[in-house]
Amino acid sequence: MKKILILTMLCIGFVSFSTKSFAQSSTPLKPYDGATHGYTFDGMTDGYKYQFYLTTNPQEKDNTVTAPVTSGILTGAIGTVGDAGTGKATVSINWNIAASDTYNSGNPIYLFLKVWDETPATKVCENYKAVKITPVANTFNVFVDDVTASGIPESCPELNFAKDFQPIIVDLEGNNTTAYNAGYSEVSFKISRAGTANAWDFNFTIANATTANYTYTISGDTSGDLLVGTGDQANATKDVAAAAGDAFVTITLKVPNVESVNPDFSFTINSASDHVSKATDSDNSDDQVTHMINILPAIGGFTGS
Amino acid sequence: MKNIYKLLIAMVVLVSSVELAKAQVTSFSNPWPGSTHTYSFGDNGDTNTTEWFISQNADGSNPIVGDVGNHFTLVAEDGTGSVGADGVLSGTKINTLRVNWDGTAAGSYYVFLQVIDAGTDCSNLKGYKVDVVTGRFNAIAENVTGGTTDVDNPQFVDDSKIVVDGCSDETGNRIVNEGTFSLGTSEVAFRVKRQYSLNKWHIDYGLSVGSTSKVIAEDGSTLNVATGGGYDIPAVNDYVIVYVTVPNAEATSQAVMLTLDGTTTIDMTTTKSDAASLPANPSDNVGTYTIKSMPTISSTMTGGN
Repeated sequence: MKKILILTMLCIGFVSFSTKSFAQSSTPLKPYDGATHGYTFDGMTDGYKYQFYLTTNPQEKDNTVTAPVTSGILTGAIGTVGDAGTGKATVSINWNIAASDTYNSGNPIYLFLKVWDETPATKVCENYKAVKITPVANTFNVFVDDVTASGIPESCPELNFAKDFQPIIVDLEGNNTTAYNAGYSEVSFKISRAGTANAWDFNFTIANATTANYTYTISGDTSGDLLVGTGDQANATKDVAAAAGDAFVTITLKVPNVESVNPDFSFTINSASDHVSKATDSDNSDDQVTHMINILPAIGGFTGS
Repeated sequence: MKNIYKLLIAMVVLVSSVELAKAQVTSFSNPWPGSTHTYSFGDNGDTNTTEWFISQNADGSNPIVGDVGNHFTLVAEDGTGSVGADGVLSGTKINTLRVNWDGTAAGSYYVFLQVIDAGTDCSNLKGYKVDVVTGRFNAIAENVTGGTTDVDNPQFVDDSKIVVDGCSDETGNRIVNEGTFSLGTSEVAFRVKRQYSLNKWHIDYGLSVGSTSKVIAEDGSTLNVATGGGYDIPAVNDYVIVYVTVPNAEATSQAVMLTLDGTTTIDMTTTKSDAASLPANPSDNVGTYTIKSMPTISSTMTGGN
């Protein structure tokens, strides 16, 4: 009679997730496109090796498979049980911004965890378990428009008396003692949200291709001034937190007019997220605009006779 | 007198003299009516459009349409460009404007240059405030007898040779029993000059004794009596010499006075009169020369055998 050797199988216990679940928000098993979630399995013995892997094959045993294209990026997929806490193995997945195009309720993807013992002396077999994940389309989108008053992406410097413009030069006879002022021009960008009514936030960069100086004011649709950038700016990168009542946020640059200079700005939304659902910007194609103020033609020094 | 009052009076005198000093010569910032001055802003680009105009508003609105005889005349120093129906002198690279304040301009004006970039159509604007010397026309009468010794150039005066009195000229037929006896006449000369105007002007005056023999303008021309009396003096002349012939008389000194009529002595373009100008200064409207008395000789001879 053959002796049947029943070897111990490594235990893989319960799986837990590192983010809270809200109704209608991104969850680890139904993640929004572009969202990041943590996945933890526990109940294991410290010291064993593990590897997480993504696959569309519900019976995939090969833990070295590469994650399918446009699924997600795993961070910390390989490790030792116990590094993240006793009995635990944890991985973080950043889901592709278009994951749900391919992987969804009709075509799920599986996150596997394989655990094994590398010590040859111990006669412990490997184990593997998986969870089914169905990415969900994310309609949260943040986009930017150039809403400068000129209506065109290249505008003339404004010569506006309400914007500090004062064209009369000071003269030595004292006929005019008020200092000449070239005034300033305003450039405005409007950052809007779509697909959510929650509070939201975004990170932007204003890049300035010339030596132009400017200050800026950021105000929410209903929140009023959110942020004021004082002093001279070269480039500016900032985080903005907008309230639920702000369907859009306006950023207005105040650019002093300088002769022979044409300020050239590009505004980029680097990232954005729904503050409640944690959804991230689903469309990056509408995240950048530029605006240039044309050159202010020079007028030379005054002489009279 | 209390020191505070002395100080206040000193301050009033100082301010008045500063104001008067500004007007003593015509300048581009405080031009006299009838003067011509140039206004120049330095290099404004080789291809840019330059538009010059004058407005009474510091914001450049409502350019004045300047025709000869109106407020002023505009012309480019280099002779290019042209003035449109809107009062704007338009051309390329016109850096210097010549303004002939030959009209009724009075008060403050702003001389503007607008430069328009040839490529982008963007513009820049600078201005210079001009206070036209207004309401100051002044005519001065003074004795210059003794100083007009150049018979070939009767308009020239050597001020170092002027005398305030003298003996009567020895002229006339003094033979008592042949021909018509006459004590002769003396010639007295007065200079009438203007201030604060370079326009065509008019003088009226009265003489205490004698009559006008000729009036010679600064440029050497002889002036004729104007219709209605007095003399119209062409704009180029800052003064005229009035030659007065006074019949000699025995045993009496004669004060020969030329008194300007302040009401009808005027700048013919602005119509401002000497009397109505500020400061009112009637005391400079009278020139005086005294012909000293000569002893009597009887006109009949007695005795002799």
